[in-house]
Amino acid sequence: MSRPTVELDFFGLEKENAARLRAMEPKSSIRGIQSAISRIDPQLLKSVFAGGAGSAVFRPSAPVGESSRLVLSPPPSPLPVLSPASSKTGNESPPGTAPLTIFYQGMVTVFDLPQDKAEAIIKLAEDVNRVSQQEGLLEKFNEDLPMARKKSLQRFFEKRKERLTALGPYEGEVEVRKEKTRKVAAATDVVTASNF
Amino acid sequence: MSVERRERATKFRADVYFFFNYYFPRRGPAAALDWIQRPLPSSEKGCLRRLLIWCSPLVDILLRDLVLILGSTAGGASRRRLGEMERQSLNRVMSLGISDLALECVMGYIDDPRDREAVSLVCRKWYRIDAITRKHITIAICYSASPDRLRRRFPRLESLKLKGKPRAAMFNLIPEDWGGYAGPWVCEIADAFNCLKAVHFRRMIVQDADIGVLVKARGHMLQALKLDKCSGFSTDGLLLVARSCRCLRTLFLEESSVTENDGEWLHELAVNNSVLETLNFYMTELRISPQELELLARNCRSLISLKISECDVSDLVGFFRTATALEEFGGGSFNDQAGEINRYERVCFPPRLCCLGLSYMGMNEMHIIFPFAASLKKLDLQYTFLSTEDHCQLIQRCPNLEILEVRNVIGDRGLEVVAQTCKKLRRLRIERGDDEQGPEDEQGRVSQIGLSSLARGCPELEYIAVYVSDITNAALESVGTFSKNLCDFRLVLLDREEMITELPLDNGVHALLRGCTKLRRFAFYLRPGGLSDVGLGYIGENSNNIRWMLLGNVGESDLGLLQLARGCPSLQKLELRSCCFSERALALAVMQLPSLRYLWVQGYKASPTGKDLLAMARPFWNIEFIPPRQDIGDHEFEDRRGGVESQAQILAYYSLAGRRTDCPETVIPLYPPA
Repeated sequence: MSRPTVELDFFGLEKENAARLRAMEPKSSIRGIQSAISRIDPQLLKSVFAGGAGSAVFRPSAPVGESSRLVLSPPPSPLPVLSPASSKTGNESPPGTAPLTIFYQGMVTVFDLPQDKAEAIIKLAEDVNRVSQQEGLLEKFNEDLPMARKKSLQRFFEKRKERLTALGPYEGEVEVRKEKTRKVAAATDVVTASNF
Repeated sequence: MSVERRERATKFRADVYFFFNYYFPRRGPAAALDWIQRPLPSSEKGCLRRLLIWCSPLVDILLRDLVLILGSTAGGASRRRLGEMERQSLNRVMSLGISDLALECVMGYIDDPRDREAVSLVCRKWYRIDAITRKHITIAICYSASPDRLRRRFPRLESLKLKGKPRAAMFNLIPEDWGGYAGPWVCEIADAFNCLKAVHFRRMIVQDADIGVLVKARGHMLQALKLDKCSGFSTDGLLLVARSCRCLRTLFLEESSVTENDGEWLHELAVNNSVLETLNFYMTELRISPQELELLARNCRSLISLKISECDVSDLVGFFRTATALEEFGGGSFNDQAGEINRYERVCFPPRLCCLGLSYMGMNEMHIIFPFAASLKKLDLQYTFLSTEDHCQLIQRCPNLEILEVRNVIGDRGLEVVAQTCKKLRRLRIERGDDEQGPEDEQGRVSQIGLSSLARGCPELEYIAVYVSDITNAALESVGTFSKNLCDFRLVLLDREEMITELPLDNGVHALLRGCTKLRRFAFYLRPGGLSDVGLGYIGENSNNIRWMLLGNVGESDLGLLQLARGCPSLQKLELRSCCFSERALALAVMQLPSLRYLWVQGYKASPTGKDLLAMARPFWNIEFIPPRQDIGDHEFEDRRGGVESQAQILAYYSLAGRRTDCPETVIPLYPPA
């Protein structure tokens, strides 16, 4: 089935989280999520979100190839539970906690967590992300460690530069020699030119 | 304890036992005496044999005579025959054994630390006597022992050398606050070391207060004070030294960072001291006036070595005239002013001067050296403004040169001149020039050509350190063939040229190590592809005597490191930089190298947690980690030099003092656990 059969917008994807998700994971597969959800038994889904509890894990019948990224969508407010039945059955989240939904390699997990715990999990995921980026950088650097210079010589070169810039252009040692070689070169040019 | 040490100790014990229980009783006192009186070989074994001889009970009686005999040359000057009465007392004493006093006298003649080690392992008595007669100790990394332990082990120490920061600190790779504080050591010295006359701190943090404590307790006896590449003190500390240490013969401050509060210290030194022989504040920013130097020369008639910070050489005319005993001078500066061409013509160097290094000297002033260039034994041109041609002109006048230090501006042409002229050359250092925008001089490149000529021309070479721009296997083979006296070889392949004539250098390094059997220190810094794993294996197989190694950009995989670690039986200190080895391989290598006591690594396959490093955890082995700086990402393309210091480092060393307690934030001790 190419078209998603479930048309209910459980997570307000099109509206609220679409923008957030796009910001976090621009290439991420909203379509993928939708297709994952589309394979979920709607009854099961309904009951879980009605209960709004614990860690119910879904496994779609067919694996979703696209999104194996960890997508966290912490809702600042509770998820919009669309089934009117849920609000009635009243298995609501414990006070002070909110559902945290995790999409990972075709699995959807929901947890009821207080704000700080949710933030901790998100930070952990971000850290892992950053470390693996850094590893790449470290490898690059490991291959490219520039040769270090000896302190004493480095100081000498800096002082030499200072002395050369302090003196005028025709007074420094190196400058004089460069001048000489330039003059010699110019003279030879003249000679060769005069042959013609 | 390494295998080699154990074997030496066992053999020594066997020798001693043999002498007492077989040779002496069987051959009798006369034969033994005769054996003792024979001239001794000067080889290393001779030292042990001397000890053997000294331990004979005859020493008690013949103490004075034996001192005379052994004090004379191997040609054997005074031979003394025992009279009958002495032979009788000899027999009597034989049964009583050796006296401690005799042993003490004996051990005083043994200087080599490895022989001393062997001696101390024979038995408890000998251990004690070695302990109280040991004169000098070098502690290669100050955190490997505690000051208290040193005091208990060698209470009568006369000379102490301590090293703090890793060698990489000379290349700006170690954070300034890494550690190496002299404080705790100075306190112990002040408390307990009543015989200490010479102190040498290298790459350590020494504060004015520490100097204060030291000179208050030992100032009246201190003969040598060396604050070598140290930091943390000011001229106030120097003032204390100048006022309190009247018998100071050596004051060495080279390359230390000294805060300048005033210039009085030199004046005080000149006024309070009359026995100074060596004064060195080369490569410091200390400001002094030439008049004070002249005063020093007047008061210290034995001054033979002076190396100073910047001070115009034309102002030193008075000093040079006064310091008639001077043999070594370094530093100063030249300031060519337009219109004062003859400014340095008046400079006349002391007659015995044979070691020279003049900072900022250029082509126009070079000729002031010519009159005595032929008597120069040591020449330092690292901080001059000379071109390749200038080097050629100068060096061809120095046939007696033994030590030469230059930058690679000397070029292959200059090395050719060295090879033809300096036949007595023992030490040559060729440093890296300022090649930020290409070489300093068009000819300022050293390559396989120069290296080969050098090896062929200077057979006495013991130390070669060179930054090359190009290299071949044949050049290294030449070194292996001709430089048979080489003890220290360091080669760095610069990274400016894209194409190197011949890489990898497996065969070359193989030949070099096979040929230079006396090599004890070895550095090989290349580029990826410079040495294969096979080459590393060659190094491992052929480094029997090498104690220190620096390897950079060598090998292709972990296998190479493991092959290296299978050999290198004497390797005590290993520095690795910019290699591709994993933590696991590093740990394995450490566990395999039998003599390794110190490891420094920067640039390796780091893991996020570093847990593979703990595979090398073992008792008494400290493992420290300097993590990379967090802002690596920001500087990725902009400031690459910032990336150098920021790379992670591993430092591991044997320690009897346990975990460091004074680590800054930048140093993380991984093992032992707190």
